Amino acid sequence: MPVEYRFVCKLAHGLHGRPASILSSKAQEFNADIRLTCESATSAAPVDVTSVLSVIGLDVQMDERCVLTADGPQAEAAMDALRYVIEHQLHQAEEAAEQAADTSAAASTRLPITLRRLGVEYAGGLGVCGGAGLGVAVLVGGLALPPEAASARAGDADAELADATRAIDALRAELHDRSHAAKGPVERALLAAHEQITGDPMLRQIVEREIAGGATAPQAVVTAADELASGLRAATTAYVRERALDVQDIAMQLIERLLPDTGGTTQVELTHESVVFAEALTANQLLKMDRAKLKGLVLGAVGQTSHTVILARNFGIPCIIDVAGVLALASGGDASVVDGDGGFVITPVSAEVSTFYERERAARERRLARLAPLVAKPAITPCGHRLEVATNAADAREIGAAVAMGAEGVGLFRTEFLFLDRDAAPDEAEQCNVYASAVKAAEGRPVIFRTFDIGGDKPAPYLNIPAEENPFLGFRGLRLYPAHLSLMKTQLRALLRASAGAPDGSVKIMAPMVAAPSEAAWFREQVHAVRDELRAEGASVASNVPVGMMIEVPSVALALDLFAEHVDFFSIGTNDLCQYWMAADRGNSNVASLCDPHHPSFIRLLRAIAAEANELGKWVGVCGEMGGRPRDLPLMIGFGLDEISGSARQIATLKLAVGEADRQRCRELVDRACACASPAEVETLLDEFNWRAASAGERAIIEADCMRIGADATTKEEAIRQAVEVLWIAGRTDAPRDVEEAVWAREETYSTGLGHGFAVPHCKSDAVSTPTLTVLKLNAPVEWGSMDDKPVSTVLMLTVPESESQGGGAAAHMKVFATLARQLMHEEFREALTVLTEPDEIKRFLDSMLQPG
Amino acid sequence: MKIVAVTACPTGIAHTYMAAEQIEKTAKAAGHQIRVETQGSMGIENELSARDIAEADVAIFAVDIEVEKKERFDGKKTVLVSVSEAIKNPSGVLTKAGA
Repeated sequence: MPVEYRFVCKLAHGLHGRPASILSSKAQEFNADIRLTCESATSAAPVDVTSVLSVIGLDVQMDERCVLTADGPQAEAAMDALRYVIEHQLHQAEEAAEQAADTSAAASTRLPITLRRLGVEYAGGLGVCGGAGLGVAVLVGGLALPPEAASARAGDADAELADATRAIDALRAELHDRSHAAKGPVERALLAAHEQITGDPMLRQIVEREIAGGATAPQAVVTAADELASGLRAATTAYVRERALDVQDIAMQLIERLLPDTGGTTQVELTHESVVFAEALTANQLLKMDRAKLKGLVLGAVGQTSHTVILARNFGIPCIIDVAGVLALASGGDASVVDGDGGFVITPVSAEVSTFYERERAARERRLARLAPLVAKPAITPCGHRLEVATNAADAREIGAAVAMGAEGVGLFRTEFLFLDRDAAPDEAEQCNVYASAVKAAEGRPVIFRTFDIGGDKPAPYLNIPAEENPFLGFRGLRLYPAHLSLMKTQLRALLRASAGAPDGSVKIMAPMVAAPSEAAWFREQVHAVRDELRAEGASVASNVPVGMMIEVPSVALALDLFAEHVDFFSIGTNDLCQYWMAADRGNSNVASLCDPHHPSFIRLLRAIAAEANELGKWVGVCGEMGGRPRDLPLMIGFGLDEISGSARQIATLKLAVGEADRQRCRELVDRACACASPAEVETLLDEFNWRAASAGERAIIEADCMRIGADATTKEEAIRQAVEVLWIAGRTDAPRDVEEAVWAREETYSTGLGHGFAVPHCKSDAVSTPTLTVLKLNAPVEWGSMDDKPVSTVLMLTVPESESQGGGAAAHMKVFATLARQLMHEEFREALTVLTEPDEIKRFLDSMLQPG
Repeated sequence: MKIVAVTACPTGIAHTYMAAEQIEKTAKAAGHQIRVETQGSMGIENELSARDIAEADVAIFAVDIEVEKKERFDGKKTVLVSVSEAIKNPSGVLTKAGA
């Protein structure tokens, strides 16, 4: 006799996740056919409750009515038990799951206001490399059989089914054991969920059906996963869509068991301009991709300081990480855009979205073209202090790109990428080739090669480094060299041979992870010994190859004099130095916030290092991430460094800023930062302190290059966006989206359309470097919500740096804006401005009317 | 008629001065004596003296934020309007002030 129970779902996130899993587990205890239907379900067919995937796929939402039926020998007992679970246990399960949810990545997402106003759908993450990239979605780590397995013909169906069943049972048993052995609750819950999905009746049913229809076991698994995943992906709830990833994950594990010989990562071939979606991507996989086609990266929880991310930054590939359910987001081949500044991905993209990014790209190019002549010059402060702005690199192609962007050298060439993710170390010829092409790409500029830094978080299997309790404090960097002498010598030979033909002294060799003076002395001896050996063989080597060391261990920082006699230069690795100094692992999210280079204590340390190096007359650079951040640039100048090294895309910004900096003010900024009590205070100081030279602020408010006549805009949004774009191309802001945001924030208090076809959008924001009047004359008037309800055809945008608008010295600038505002109330002025169409004429007219004297 | 006025808007870059100009222009055209103080991002300019205020028949506040040094106007007849109203319809504002 079938029994029935009707209930209303009272779960805020619907019948998903842990609640669904608890319900299914309970149903499996009984010998009964238990089915569930929901009023809103697209299919009327009741689903099997013992299949958690079916329950989740039903997508029951809060307040929806459901009917549970049971039939069979234990129907009544089953229904009593399930009723109890539904009434008493599901709610608690949902609360527990909610507490574990992490929303930190989504919080950092900022959709540009234009897209926000279009109501575009997106997935958030943490932007780790800026810029926007458009391409077709390529899913890496998704399901794909090797070609021979994909086209294989099935043998005996019974044998195929036996293989499939064996693989499923073995995986389920393994997941069961692993989930019981798991240390943390998160890992345990994940493994238990995977165990449940592996044992799901739906999975078996599809596999059986496919094999009966002539498929091989691996083909059947792929079809089952695709079918189950596409059902889940169609759900309205993000949580359910993410389960598609679990299904894929399990299918991959099954395929590895069924095809043990073809496992392992495969090279990703990009055939079009692509945005790569992957839960995780190794540095090596990234290096092997065709970077001309790689336009963006959307990754899972790979860590901000993982080598994949460091490489992406270096290549200037727009990248976001910490994206939930990466592989369930997109379908392969969909046009996608990843926005590293905003921290989000949009897939598939609409025509409006691609137009937005197309315009942004065009503006970026115009800006670069405008800045090119300035960027080609060396970076020198107005008072004559030279700060080399170099790039970090891992191969020659990157160097070529960075040199084109104005890099004055390579501050850190990471050689270890040659050594990782392979079965044997590269030989001398291979290395020499790589180093020589790097030297060639630098076109005579200095290149600092850091000898291989392996160990810790960068393992190489052929070195047989034993598992360590604490790899960051273990056998890594230079500490490995005495035990792997031939490996080190081979590298030194390759480096020294690559120095032949390069300008003398331009090839430099640097040791990683030096902690004691004796290590530095030993390393130098080794370099010299190898050099002498090469010369004895008759090989050509540059006569001067400077030998230096990284400063990344605190023991070095306060005893530079003990090291100075053994090295020619120092380079500060701020990432490692900071984590050793703060005793906080940057990869451990529980303590990573401590690993903040803006801690005043760390800034004092850097000040002391730079001062000591200067005192000793030793060249000192910074090759850590801090060195490449425009925000930290005034600190770098204030420390008195010889060089900073960052990613290629920041070089133009950094060089232009050096050209505007006042060194004395930067020193004062450093002293004040050292006196701060917290990183937050330091950051406020960095944002507010005016470290620019007085002469640098003298760019005129009114310039012809801040005017666009005949602008094509059909909306107020587009007009404002274009006005900000003009400001950006003119090099008066580095953060156009922030300016746009600030202008709109003001616009929302009340419209700046003042009537008679004029509008004066404006803002105070430190995203603009200098007070500016931007003039936009529109081809056709646009609605603005003006005081007289008439559309606007002349836009006068006033932008002022926040800090500037308060100081007394800024009064002259503000006076110009005040006079303009008053003049706009006079018809003659408005008419004169309306008839002028040449930027130079407009400038002359405005200067004569607005400038005092 | 003798009028004093104060204008002030949130950003203090543009509308403060537009409102000042409108009120001043319109009042003068109507034959009134007027002095307008602006409270913008340059701080207080054309500051009204105690005498200006004492001699005035009415004070107009065309503001979207608090008037600074408001105590100077204690006991004075004041008319409060928004900045945009002063820009859009200055004669209406003067009418409100009894001018």
